[in-house]
Amino acid sequence: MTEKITQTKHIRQQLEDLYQQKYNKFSKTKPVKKYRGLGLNWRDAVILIWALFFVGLYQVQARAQEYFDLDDIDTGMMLSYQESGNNYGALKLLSSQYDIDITGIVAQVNITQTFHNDSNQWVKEGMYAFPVAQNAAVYQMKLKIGQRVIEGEIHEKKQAQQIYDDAKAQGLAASIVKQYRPNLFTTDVANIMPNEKITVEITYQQTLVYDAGHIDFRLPLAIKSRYMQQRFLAGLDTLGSEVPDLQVTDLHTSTVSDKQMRSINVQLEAGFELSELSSMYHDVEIKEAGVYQTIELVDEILYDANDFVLRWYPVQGKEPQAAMFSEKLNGKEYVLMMLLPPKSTKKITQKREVVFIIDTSGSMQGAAMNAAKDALLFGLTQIDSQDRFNVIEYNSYATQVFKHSQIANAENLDEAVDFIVALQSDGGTNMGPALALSMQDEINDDYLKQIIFITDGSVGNEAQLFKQIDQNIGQARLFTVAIGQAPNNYFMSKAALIGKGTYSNISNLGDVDYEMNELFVKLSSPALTDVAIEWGHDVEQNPRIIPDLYSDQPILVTARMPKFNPKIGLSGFADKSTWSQSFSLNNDGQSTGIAKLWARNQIADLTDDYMLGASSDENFLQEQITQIALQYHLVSEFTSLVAVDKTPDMSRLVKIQAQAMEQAEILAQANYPQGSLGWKWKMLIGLMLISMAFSIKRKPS
Amino acid sequence: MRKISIVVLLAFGLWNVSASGYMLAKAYLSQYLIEDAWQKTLVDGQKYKPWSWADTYPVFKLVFPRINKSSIVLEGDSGRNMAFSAAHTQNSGLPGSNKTTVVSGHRDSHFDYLQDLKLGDEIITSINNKSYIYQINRFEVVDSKTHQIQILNEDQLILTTCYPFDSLQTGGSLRFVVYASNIMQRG
Repeated sequence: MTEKITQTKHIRQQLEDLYQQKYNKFSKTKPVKKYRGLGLNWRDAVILIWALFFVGLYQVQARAQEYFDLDDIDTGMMLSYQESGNNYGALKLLSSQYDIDITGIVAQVNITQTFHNDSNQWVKEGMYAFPVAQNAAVYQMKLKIGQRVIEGEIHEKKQAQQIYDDAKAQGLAASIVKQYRPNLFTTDVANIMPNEKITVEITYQQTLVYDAGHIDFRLPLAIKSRYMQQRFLAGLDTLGSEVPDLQVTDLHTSTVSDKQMRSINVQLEAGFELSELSSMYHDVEIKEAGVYQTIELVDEILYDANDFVLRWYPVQGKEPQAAMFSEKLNGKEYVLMMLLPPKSTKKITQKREVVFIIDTSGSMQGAAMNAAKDALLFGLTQIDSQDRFNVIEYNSYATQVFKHSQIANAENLDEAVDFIVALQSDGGTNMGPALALSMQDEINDDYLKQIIFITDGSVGNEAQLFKQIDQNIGQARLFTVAIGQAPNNYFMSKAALIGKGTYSNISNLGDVDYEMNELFVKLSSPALTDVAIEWGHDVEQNPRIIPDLYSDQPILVTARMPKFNPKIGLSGFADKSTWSQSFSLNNDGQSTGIAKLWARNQIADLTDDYMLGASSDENFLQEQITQIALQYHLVSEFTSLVAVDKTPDMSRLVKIQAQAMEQAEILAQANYPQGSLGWKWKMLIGLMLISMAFSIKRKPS
Repeated sequence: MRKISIVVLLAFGLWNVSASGYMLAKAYLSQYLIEDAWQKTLVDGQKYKPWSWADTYPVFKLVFPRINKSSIVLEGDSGRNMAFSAAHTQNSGLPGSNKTTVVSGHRDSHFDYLQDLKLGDEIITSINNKSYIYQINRFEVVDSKTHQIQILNEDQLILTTCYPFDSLQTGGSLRFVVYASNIMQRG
C-alpha cells in the first residue's frame, strides 16, 4: 500500500514539475486555491485527468486514423492503408526488441517489432516503415504475418524483378524493398487478418558520426509530437479550455512498466578507453565485460519523447591513437583501423604554399561570386608572411596572379587583393586548365602545398578531372570549398578524397567567414600527414588513398587480408617529426560487421568508377560489384533486396479469404454455445469428497 | 456426528462422480446409436432419430483425415444435443450451401481434438451423399460475451468449442474458433 502511494506521488510530482516549468510565471502570479472540502485544487484535477488520459493512450499506442504522411514516421510503424479516404492508420505496436552491436564506429542494428491488427477489419494493404540513418544499409528482413513468412533475399536486379513479377502474376504478396527516400526503409504487407499479429525483423548496418570528441549512436524511437498532438487535441475538446498545452513529448511519467514491451541491448566494443559513456535520454544499466561494454535499457517510461541516444567519449591524448578491430569470415581476415585525432592540435611549424582557385564562371553570378570573393579575401588574411601563395581564377580560361607562387609579403598580397576585387563572373566552366596551373609547380620539400578550390560545383567532365587530380596531385593537398545550396557534392567530396584534402560546403552564404576560419584552422594544424599502414600482406584496402588526420575527424580504413597477420604498423608525420605505432591483433576475429563494412566501401568505390565511366570495362565492374554484393548480402546498384513469400500456399489462401470476406454479407449472428461438459471438475470434486470421507473414517482408529 | 458427515461426504462424492460418469457415458454410448442412425440416413437420405424420444437427428459427418478423427453432427446446438455429440447451429448453413456452417462441441468430449488441428488441415464433410472439402485457414480465440458468430453468405465452416482446453471448470466465456473454407466438392 505504501508503495502505491509513493508511486502515485512520484507521477504527480513529475507532472507537477513539468507544469511548473511550463507555467512558471502563471503560477507565481496566481496562487492556487484549495477547495477545503475535497483537499483538491483544480490543478490536481487537471493533472489527474491528464495522467488518466496518458495511461489510456498507452493502451491504444500509436493508433491513428487521421491522415498523415511519411514525414511523420520517426519510429518503426506498421501502417494500414484504407482505400476509403486515402488514409493511413497505424497498427498497434505490441513489442519492440533492439539488439545492437557496435564495433568502433560501425553499428549492426537488429530490430524485431510485433504489431497487432486489433480491429475487426482486414488490412488489405499495409506497409512497414522504419526511419534509418542516411548512411545505413538494410540487408536483412523477415516478416511473419500469422502463419505466413516473408523473407528478404538479395538477388541480382533482373532476377529480383523476375521473382517479383512471378509472384505478382501468381497473385502473391511480393515487394522489392525500396527506399522512398534515403532515410526511410519501407516494405509492403498484404492481407492482414483481423486479430492477427505481424512480426517484422530488420537488420541494418550504419556508420556512426564522430563529432567534437564523441561518437553518438541513435535509435529512432520518438513519436513525432505533431502527429501525436493532432490526435490528442481531437479528444481534448471535452476537457475544456483549462487543459494546459502540454506536449506529449515532454512527458516522462513512469506509471506502466514497459519492459516486456521494449528492450534495448547494446554491445559496444569502443576500441579506446572511454572517459564517458552515457545514454542521453533513457535510463540504462552499463556493464563491462572484457573489451565490451554492455548497455541495457532499464527505463520504464510511458512514452518515448526522445530517440535513444548513446554517447561515448574516447580518451584523447596528446598524440593520435588508433584502434584495430578484426573479423574472420570464410577464411579471410577483415580489419577496421580507426585513427583518432589528439585532444588538441598545434599549428604546424612547416612552411606552407597555398594556392587558391576561384571559379568565376557565369553560374557564380551574384551572391555566390561575392561570397567566393569574401572567402578568398578571408583566406589571404590567414596566410603567414613566411608562406607562399598564388591565386588562380577560371571560367572558360584560367588566369593566375603570379607565374609562380610568391612570398606573402604586403606587396604581393596587395596585388592579389586588387586582382580578386576586379574579378567578374562570366563565361564557361573549364576547371582543367586551372587545376593544371595549380599543380604544375615543382614541389619544394620545405613547403606543404595546399590547393584551395572555391566553386559552386557545376562540373561536367568529372571522370577526366578525377584522373587529372590523381595523376598530378603529387605531394600537394586539394581542399574543395563549395559555395551555395546545391553544389555537386559528389564531385567536391570525391575530388578532395583523391587530393588527400577535405571538403567544406558553405550552403549559407552568411557563414563564409566562419566556415573559412574553420577550414584555415584545420589547414594550419593537421594532426598527422602522410599516414601509411604496413599490413604485412597484400590487402584490398579502402579508402585506397589514406587522407591526413585533422582534429575534427577520425580516419577509418577497412581492409581485407588473405590471412591473419598479428603485426600491423602505422606511421605518419606530425609536423616535422615522424609518428608510428604498431599493433598486435589478437586472433579472436570477434568483432562483427567489419567484413560487411569493407564490402560496402568496396562497392561504393567500384560504383563510383562505374558511374564515372572511368574504366573502359563497364561489364567487368558490374560483374565485380554484383559478385561482392551477393557474397556479402548487400543492396547495390545491381542487386536488390526482394521480399520472397516463403509460404505461398498460405498467402493464396489468406488472399482468397480476404476477397471472400470483402464480398461476404452477414446473414445472421449466433451466440457461441457453451463448449464444455465440465465432467472433469465434477469427477475431481466427487473423488475429493469420497477420499475425505475415507480419511475421516480412518483417523480415530 | 462423524458418521453423518462421512455419509454426507460419501453421498455427495458419489453423486458427483456418478454425474460426471453419466455425462461421459451419455457422450460416448450415444455415439453408437447416432452412428446407427447416420448409417440409415446414408442409405436413403431420410432423417432418423438416434433413439425414439430424441428430438434431433444426425445431419452430416465431419472427418479430419490428418488426425484420424470424425464426428457425426446433430441438428440444433442445444445443451442437451451437445451432451450427445457435436451439434449444428440451426440458423446457420449446411455444407455445400452458400452460407456459413457452424458446428459446436464440448472441448472435454467430442471436440477435444480441435486443439490438435493445424492451419491448412483438410476437413471432409459428408451430407446427402456428397462430400465437401474444407481447409482450415484461421484460428481464433474470442470472448463470447463480446463476440457473436458471423454467419455469412459464403461456404465456410466454423467449429467452436470452449477455451482453454485444459481448464477444469466449465462456464468460461472464451471460445476457440476454427475457420475453414470450401476448397472442393466431391461425389
